[in-house]
Amino acid sequence: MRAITIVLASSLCVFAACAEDPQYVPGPSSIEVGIAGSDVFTGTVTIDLPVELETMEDAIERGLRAAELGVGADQLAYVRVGDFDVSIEWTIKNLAGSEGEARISVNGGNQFWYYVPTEFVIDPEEDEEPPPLMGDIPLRIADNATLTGVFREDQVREASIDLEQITRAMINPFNAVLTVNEEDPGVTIPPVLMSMTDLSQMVRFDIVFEADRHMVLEYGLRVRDHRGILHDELLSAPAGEFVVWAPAMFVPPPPPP
Amino acid sequence: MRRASLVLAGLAGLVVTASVPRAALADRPASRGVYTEAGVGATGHLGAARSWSAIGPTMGLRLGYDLFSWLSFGVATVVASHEATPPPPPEGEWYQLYQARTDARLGFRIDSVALFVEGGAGAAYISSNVLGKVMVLDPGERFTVAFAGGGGLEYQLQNRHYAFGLAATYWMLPQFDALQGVEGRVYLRYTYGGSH
Repeated sequence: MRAITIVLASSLCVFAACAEDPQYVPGPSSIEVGIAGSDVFTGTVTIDLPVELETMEDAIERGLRAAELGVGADQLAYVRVGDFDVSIEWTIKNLAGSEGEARISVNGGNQFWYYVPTEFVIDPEEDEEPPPLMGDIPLRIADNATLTGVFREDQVREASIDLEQITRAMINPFNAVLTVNEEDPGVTIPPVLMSMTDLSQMVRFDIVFEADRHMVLEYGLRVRDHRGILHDELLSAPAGEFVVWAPAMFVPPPPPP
Repeated sequence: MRRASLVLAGLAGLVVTASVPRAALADRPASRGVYTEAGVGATGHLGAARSWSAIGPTMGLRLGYDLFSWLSFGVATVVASHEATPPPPPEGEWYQLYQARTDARLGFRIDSVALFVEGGAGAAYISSNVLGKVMVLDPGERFTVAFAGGGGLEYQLQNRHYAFGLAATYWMLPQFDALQGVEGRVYLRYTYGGSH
């Protein structure tokens, strides 16, 4: 009997341990730029996280939490910071015969808004474009070499917070992106202070690849799902079984006259 | 073919067991009945999958019952951890493969050494879809039926309850694009029953 108990307990522990195993969302396509004969040196791909439709229980739980905070249920996101731990893994191959430079920038959105830095440039001669949520670091890559890297989970979490600061909290994007907020108690989304775990999680990722010669970027998302709401079939999920995110592009209010 | 091999091995075991002098068995009594095994070892994949997974550590538990001295039935659970090595990204990621099987074991013993063959079927679960990129897994696929067969030898200690063993098992997972592998393990067996 004791042996049976040990075997069963071990099996349960094993399966409990894998409940939050990472899932890999492959990039829908690679981004190849600088092909000979073309003058395209920048490419962008958008990936939406394939999240299952919100259940009635989830909606009720969200409504109760919103009531606790004193905001409307529509102001509390379905997918919130901490529901997922997301990292973005990438590989760049330099297909040219000489050393070159590449940059990867990541912007994106939550269920309410998505961020486009160029929208903050009103006068191109005076306004500096704000930084992207992640990346935009120059990477030197030798000829025919391969470089791999990752945007870590903490970077994506910070990007989710920055996005909320830029959009719903109306904080200057330079301030939001260049400040680390992980120790903050929360973000003031008028009229309330929302804790970090009440903020919206990024569910849309706009990956921008820029290179000065022929290179290709392969990438994928690694997602640890703490709520069990990521669709099992990921990007192959049938239509109607996952949320179609439709955030609005955030356009900053015009400067005071 | 494998089934035929198992039957032949079983018959051979019976013949050998019958011809083993009783004195030899009496020199090294072994318990018979309910037993447990705990083992550790390594697992590697076969075929094309060798390029997508590194050899990884494995551990297993087995709970069985000796119906006769030459035949036992059991339930085995095995977990193996592998580094996934498909074309990056991702890179440096690990996954776990869990298997649970019921199996039958045929064997015989000469003095302190026992030889056995075993075979069984069950189910397997993979912890992530990291091998989806190389088409081992279909979207959303995590479970498969599992078939396994193998053999080994066991050394009976003076204490009738304990034995050490060395075993190798081949397994195949049909729904995971017929993923195949071989595990080798050393194990400790504890048998609860009286001697025979």
